[in-house]
Amino acid sequence: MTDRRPPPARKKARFKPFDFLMFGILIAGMIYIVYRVDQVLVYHWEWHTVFEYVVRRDETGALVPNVLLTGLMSTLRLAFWGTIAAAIIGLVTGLCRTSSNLFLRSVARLYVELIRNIPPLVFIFVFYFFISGQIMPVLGIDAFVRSASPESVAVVELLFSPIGLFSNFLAGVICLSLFEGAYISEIVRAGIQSIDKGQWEAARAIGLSRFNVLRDVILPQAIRKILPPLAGQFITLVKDSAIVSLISIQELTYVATEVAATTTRVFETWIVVGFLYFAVCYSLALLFGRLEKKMQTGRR
Amino acid sequence: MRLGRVVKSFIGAAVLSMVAATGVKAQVQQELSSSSVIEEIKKRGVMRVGMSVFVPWAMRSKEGELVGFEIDVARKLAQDMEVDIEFVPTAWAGIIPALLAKKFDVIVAGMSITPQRNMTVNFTTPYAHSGQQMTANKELAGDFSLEDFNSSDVTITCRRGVAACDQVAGRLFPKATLRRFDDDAQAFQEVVNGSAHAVVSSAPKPRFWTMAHSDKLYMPTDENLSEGNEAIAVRKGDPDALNFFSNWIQEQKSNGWLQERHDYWFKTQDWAGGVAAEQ
Amino acid sequence: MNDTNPMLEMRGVGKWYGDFCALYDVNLKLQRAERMVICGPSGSGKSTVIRCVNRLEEHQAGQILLDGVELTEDTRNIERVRREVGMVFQHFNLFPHLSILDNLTLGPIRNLKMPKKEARELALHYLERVRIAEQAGKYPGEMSGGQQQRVAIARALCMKPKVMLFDEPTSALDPEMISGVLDVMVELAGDGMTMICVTHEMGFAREVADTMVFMDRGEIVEVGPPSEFFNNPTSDRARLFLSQILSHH
Repeated sequence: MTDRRPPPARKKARFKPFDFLMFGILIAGMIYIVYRVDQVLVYHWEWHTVFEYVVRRDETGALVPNVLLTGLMSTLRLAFWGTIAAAIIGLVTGLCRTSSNLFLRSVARLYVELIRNIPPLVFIFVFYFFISGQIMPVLGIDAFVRSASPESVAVVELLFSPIGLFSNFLAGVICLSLFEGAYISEIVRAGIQSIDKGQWEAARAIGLSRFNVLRDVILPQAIRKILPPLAGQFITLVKDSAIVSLISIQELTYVATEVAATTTRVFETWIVVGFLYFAVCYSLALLFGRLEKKMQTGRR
Repeated sequence: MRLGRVVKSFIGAAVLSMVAATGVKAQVQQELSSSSVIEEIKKRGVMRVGMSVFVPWAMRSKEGELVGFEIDVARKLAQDMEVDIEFVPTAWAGIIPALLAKKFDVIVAGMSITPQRNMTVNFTTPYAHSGQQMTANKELAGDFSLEDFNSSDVTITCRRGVAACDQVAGRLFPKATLRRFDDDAQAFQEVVNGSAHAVVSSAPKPRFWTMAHSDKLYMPTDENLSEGNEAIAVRKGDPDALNFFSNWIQEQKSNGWLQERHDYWFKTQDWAGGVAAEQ
Repeated sequence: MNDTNPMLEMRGVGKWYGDFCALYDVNLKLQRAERMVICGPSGSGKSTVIRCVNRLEEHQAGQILLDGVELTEDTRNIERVRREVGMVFQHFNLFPHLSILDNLTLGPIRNLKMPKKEARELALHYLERVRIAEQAGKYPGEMSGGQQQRVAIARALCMKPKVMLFDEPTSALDPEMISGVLDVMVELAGDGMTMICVTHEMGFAREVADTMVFMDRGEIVEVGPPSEFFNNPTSDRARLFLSQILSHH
């Protein structure tokens, strides 16, 4: 070696002729399928009726959101509060599962296993009709909602749901977050347990309490490891929010069944709705991707 | 003398207990009527109605509002009770459990009276008598007589859990394969696509679809396959509500209002432009 | 408590992992400013002894007294003990998500409730002593093993401990890094720090140790001044160990 300069950088990966051939075959295949579907399905595509349910022109000709868009907003509100609540539930139960206290460990384990091993639909039904039927009257939600001042009604409707459906919305958020919380709990547990034992020992050796060890040493390291699976779970939560359509929450999927039934434009409706879900979930994926990169840069 | 006193006190005790008993009875009655859903609605000032979208009973207009035959019925009912109305659109599969769980006060959702449902909820006098109709795929079943549909080679679609499915299709065509869909439109689409022979659904949908897809669909019979009795459903143990709603329906029948509304939604398609439904 | 107390006393300490006896009847006394080196073959229980002192391991028999106060299960007691005992690990165990400075100030801020500014000054002072003050803003992953271990020593010192425990501090280091770490430890010993060091560095032991402890199979086999231990070990086990370990030095 006479030269201390680095060798020329390897060329960036590029598509080769073979790759283009494969792409061509893929695209041709897709076109063929679309063509066949069009042949088999006797279907007059009619998109504008469905689009009218996304946005419409009011009397003055201005564009205003229609039910599909308000349904999407409901889904987003549901997902937003559901994500926050699920993250808290998942964090607390995940910590419980790594606790030295047998009682906390058992309760958290029971919760996780119970939720993970029953179908979401069953859980929603049981929770909504039995449990929320018992809890909500005790909390006095409906009474509060009926007697609320116009200002607080406006706030509730902006942040949560139409006032008349508030207790349903609350039940939906609790349902969804309890359900997703179990999966987040597992992610948190795995993340905490993936941190080297030496980190616990070093933190305890400088006299930190268990709370401080977790807050200052373990969780900041765990969060970096669990961010990718966590992001996946949050995106799943957005999609899973559709299961609460069963319980009278006017979220996107439920509104879509209404629109499909009303217009009889079944395929158009579901394709539009599919696109709306995709747009939301993919933006979330991009957001988490950036967050991940930001956390990764600079340090080990 | 002694005996006289005994008899007297006995009679006295009997009278006393009778008075007490009628008092208790009155109290029970009062409790029953004060716990009636009618009282609840009046106190709240809002009637909460469980419903499910089903053309033309309840639909989303282009403005996103709920419109339809029973939307009219429920609105008029609330208006006559001098209370506001709140619709709680609910998935069909969960609508009875939701009523039982007091998520709303009544179901006005084109629900036809069946013994099974009647075991869990009470029905008022029917406010509509919709027929069940059938439309079939021309290519698959163009030359079928009505009896030909009762064959194991035939697939008939319907919406899960509605009368058309179990009471009509199941009874008239026991040999045919029934495919149940959560959504009415899907059930129809299957027949248009040629994946199923026929679909059974409440009037007037089969007629509307046949008109819209006249190249693909036809109606094997113009007769209704059966007559339904659609009624308002209320929770059990509430005679006051049952009486009130039934009498209200009776009155709207007598004065012709129900018929007029029914004809508008079922016999005409004047409303179709407003809901972007198939013409 | 008072100055006549030994700083650390272990009386008949025992510990088992299942059926395996890790420590058996360990009796030790460590006086103020005394420097003790524990050596012995691997698996002899020497690390377990010092890990019992700050309760990273729990002893199951006997008593451990730190400055006259017995170690109990009480959490407050344990946290107090850990404040007073500094520990340096074989694998440094720095917190990779924190800068060097934050690694050092975490303990004082959280545990001693020290104001941030004061903790910073303290940390910089100790970083100076281990000769890496100019790297305070770096992250552990950007430093060599020897530098990391010196940071770990500074981190322990920031808690102003009464006793420092070293658990094989040089055995995970590249050879050229070892002397830098040992220099810091020798300096610390010169300042009168009470310390126990588990190590195979016999040169270091000869230079600084007041007392040599030789362990084998969970028991203390020999205790004595280094001059005696290195020149006239009394037990066969110690002789064998010394001949193995010194043959390459």
